[in-house]
Amino acid sequence: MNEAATPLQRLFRILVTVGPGALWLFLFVLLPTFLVLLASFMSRGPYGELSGPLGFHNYLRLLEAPYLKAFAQSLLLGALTTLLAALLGYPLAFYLAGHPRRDLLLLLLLLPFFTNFLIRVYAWLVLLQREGLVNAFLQAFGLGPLSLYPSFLAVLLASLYTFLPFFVLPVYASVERIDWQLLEAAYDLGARPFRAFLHAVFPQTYPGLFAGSVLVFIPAMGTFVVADLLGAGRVVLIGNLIQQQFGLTRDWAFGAALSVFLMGFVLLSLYFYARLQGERGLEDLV
Amino acid sequence: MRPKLGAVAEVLVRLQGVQKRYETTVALDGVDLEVHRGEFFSLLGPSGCGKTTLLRLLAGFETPDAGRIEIGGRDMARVPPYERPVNTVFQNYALFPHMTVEANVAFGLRMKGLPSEVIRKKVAWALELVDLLGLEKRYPRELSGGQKQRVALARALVLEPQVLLLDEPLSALDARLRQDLRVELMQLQRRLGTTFIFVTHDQEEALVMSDRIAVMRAGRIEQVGLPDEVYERPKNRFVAAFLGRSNFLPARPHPLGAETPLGLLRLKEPLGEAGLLAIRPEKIRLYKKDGAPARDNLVRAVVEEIVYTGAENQYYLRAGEVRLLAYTLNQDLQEPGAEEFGYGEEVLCYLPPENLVVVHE
Repeated sequence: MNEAATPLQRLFRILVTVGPGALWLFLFVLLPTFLVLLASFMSRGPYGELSGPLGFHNYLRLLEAPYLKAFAQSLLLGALTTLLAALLGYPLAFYLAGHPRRDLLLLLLLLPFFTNFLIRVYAWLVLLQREGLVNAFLQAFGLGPLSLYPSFLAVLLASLYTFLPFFVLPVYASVERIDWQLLEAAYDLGARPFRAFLHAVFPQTYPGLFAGSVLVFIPAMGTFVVADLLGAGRVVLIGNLIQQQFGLTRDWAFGAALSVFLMGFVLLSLYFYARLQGERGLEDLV
Repeated sequence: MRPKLGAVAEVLVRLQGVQKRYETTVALDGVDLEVHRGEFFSLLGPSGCGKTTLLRLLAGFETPDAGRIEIGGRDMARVPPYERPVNTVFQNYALFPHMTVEANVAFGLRMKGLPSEVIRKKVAWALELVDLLGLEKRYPRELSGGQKQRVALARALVLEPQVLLLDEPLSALDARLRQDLRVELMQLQRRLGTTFIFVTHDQEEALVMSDRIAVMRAGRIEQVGLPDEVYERPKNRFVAAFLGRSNFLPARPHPLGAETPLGLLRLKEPLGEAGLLAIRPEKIRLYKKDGAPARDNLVRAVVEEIVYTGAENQYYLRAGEVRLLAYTLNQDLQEPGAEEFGYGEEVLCYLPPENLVVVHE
């Protein structure tokens, strides 16, 4: 392979090595994104097809109250799901990593994925509806019944349930790699347990926290199935709107604008989050 | 020998009957030990001898199953690591990777809640002490092994501990750097007067650096003493073999000295009962077969192997059934008494009575 290659040979080598990946990226990432972007500037034709004129009208429509409200609800759901997943998942990851039977526990954590997603969401419906298990249990103590379904709370619960493993797994991976000697070093230098953990162990889990939050926040913001089933029309998220535009309403242009907006928002928040964690982050707060 | 100020040695660290076991293995099997204030004290032994466990007990990372640990006259049983008057330099440095050099060194001071002005001054003092001024803003990943080691040292010393615990701090460095840092550590210790407890498996390191050495094996302390005591007067075969090399000869009492496989050997002190004699290779004097003065303790041997190490020649000898190892200093051959011997040559070995040490098995 040392002999001087002709330009043709070089081109061939580049195509063979980088080619397949580049083609894949082009076909399944760049092209669709471009098409969606293009569609977002078009209009709905009389039969629900994409047509002219081009313009920013779809983006201006985003500012109307119902859409802003849907966006706010999505943001709230994404943020709350991520926050609760962190509060539950962070300690859970430590518990798992320290457990002698962690292989088994990890399997249990992933077990729900063996069942269809829709069925699992319906299971929450069974639990939370008026005659459901939760209310039956409460009534046994003379409480309730509570109207848990349909509600934002139900959507939040199911969303948390769905996405929690995506938080636990990356944090678990971080915890497994923790250098515990740093904790001893912190003790040795006079740090009491809480501060020792905060300064010596917590920073080592930043990568897991970051990955976990991203993996939960993004899908939780864009979800629509959970809101459809457990919100039953009361909870309308951006995901639901997008689905409506592409389905029922057949306004693909507006649906594309909604998608682009959601994508842009997520990318932007990721950017700022990454910068926050790239700097020394929470380290100097205490 | 290093001069010691103050004739009366004050005991700073005292261990009494300290035991520690991990599930199936006994890490420490009843250790009694006293370390004096201002002393450079080494714990020397092969891996698994319990020296690191001992250090961890002193730091407070582990608790003893039995026995008592005192530091500065205070029982440490209920004192957590963050309240002990000791600091540790870890084997692999254990620097906080997300903090700069400055922040690493300031960490302990921050935990104490000192005002930032004081912290700044002390950090500067400590960094100057270990010759790291100018690297304040670097992160550990941007430092060499030797620099990391200095940061670890500064981070511990800035808290002015009563005892500095060092867990094989030089073992991760290359040979040349290790030599330099040895000297620096010794100077630092003398300058600050801090008590150092230094764990190592490197006998040369221990001999060079320490005021006193404790040789450990299998959770027990075999011998404690000055470096020359431990080297010249090893109590048992293990100590003699672990520190440097030794020739061992089984011996039985004889009115004139000892009966050995090499024949009758005169000793400085009479041998009470059957036992073992040890003699260091560099104590054996070699002569040409017709060049030796007439005296006792001369043994005829044949050169089987010669190893040239630069500073010395190592002769592997056979005297009848017995194999002997003898070193001669590689001096200028013009000097009287300096000789060189060839393969297969017959030589005479002189085993000085004062260097034949009685050791236990």
